[in-house]
Amino acid sequence: MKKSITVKNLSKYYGDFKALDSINFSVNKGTIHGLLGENGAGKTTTMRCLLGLSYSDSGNMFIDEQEISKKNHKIRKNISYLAGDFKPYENIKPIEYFKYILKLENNSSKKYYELSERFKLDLNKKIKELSKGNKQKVGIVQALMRNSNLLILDEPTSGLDPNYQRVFRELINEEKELGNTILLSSHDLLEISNCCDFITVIKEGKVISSESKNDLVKKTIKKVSVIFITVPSEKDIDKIKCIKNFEIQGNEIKFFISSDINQFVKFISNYKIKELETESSNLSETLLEYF
Amino acid sequence: MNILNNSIIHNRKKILVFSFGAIFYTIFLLYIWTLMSDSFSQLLDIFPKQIKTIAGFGDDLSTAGFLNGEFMHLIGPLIIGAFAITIGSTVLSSEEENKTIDQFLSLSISRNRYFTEKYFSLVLSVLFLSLIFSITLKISDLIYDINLNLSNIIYAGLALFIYGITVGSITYLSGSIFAKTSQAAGTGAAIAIIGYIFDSVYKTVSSMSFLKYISLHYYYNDNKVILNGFDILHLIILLIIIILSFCLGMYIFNKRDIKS
Repeated sequence: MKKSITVKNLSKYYGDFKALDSINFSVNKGTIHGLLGENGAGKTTTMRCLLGLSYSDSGNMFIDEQEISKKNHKIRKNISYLAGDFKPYENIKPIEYFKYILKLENNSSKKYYELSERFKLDLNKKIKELSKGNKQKVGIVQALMRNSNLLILDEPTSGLDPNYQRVFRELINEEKELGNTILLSSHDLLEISNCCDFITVIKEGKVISSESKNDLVKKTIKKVSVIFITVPSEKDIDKIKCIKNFEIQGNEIKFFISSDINQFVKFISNYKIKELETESSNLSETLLEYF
Repeated sequence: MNILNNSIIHNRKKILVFSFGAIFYTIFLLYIWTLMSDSFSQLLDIFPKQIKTIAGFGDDLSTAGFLNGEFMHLIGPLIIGAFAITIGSTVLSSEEENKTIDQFLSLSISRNRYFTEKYFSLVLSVLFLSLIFSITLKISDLIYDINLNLSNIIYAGLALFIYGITVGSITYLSGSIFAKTSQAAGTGAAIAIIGYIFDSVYKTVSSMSFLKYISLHYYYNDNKVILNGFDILHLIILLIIIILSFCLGMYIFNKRDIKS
């Protein structure tokens, strides 16, 4: 699969503080890729380095196989950005703001009309009079209106109510269907697990996991409660690798299983069972393990 | 040119306020002059020589001589300096302080273009205010019939423009280093005030004449520009300060991270 973004050994210091510690990850073209991490993990710094707003101390970054450098500002022609703390000019109307941004690049797109309609955004009210959520809509519209191939969105749904979060998800899925790539950051596990095809988890400036959602789902911890007639010994349970943890309460044992469940099924088939119950576990719980 | 246009439109209120101030002050000052021009020499005799020197009054008792002291020496540079500091300190650094710059620099716009267009919005704004001063002087001349030569008017406008751009460029440079409006304005104001004080001190204390070399005010009007035109060496020094401030500011703005 072609890469839209490749980050190699990217490091960034703020004084003595190492904000990014030699991180590596790549984003496939035409996918929605989530950057997940706690506040201050390095998500925004990574995005700012990609956009040339901050400069890396070492490492290389490529967008569509072109290396990002201080002089290569034209590379951003096909990139749209929504800052985490998006701040538009306050004294103008959203329509004036959109027209100004488009004019700076001689872009004749009129997509902001359709997008504003979907978000029920008043184009003719001064931005300073808009609520926080509506200002965020201005940010989302300006990012989506330029018909870019790559969207870099930092905490895009912050301040949006659930209804407009759904509209946002629909819109980025439409972008994906058009073949565009979306890199979005969030510390909202549910948002990331719902939207993204690939997830990179950053913690304290380091990438601790970067894989597809399907691979992560496979790693999801499954909980199985079994009431045995003949109870297995703790020693025997310990021998089963896929059992990450277990709790014994009399004849009932609660197992926490990861990866290959077949090994577990084979194991319990050796014992007489009275009752078996599985508890579904979601991806966001798995992601929580990384925090 | 869109960034430049937008920047000027964004600052239109400041430009209008300072323009009205400049028009009002110039007309009022020349009205006062028409009332006191006959007794000007007697009035000057009241003051000690040092005070007259500090205030910029010389032996020339013409309208241009009066304007050199009252207008070009103190109030003119004060108004244009304050204006240049106001625009120079906000035009770039307030965008960074308010974080509005992030969206623009994430477009396919080079930092050089952004920096240059913002700078030229400062240049055009100061040029506009200088023109307002010159036009008001000309109109006042027509109203009051005070015998101002066209050369006096052109020199006055040009000198104020050069002074304003010098102070504005230093302020802009400071803004591009610190990305903070207050620090940029403080630097510009400090340099302008220190320049005025050093200019006054060197004129009255002969042992401290070396201070003139580090005074913007000295290079700006030691030659009494409205009467004698520019001292070429002084003009070159001011132009060098302007060019250096611009180039250094652009270099630093390109090298550093945008404040997050």
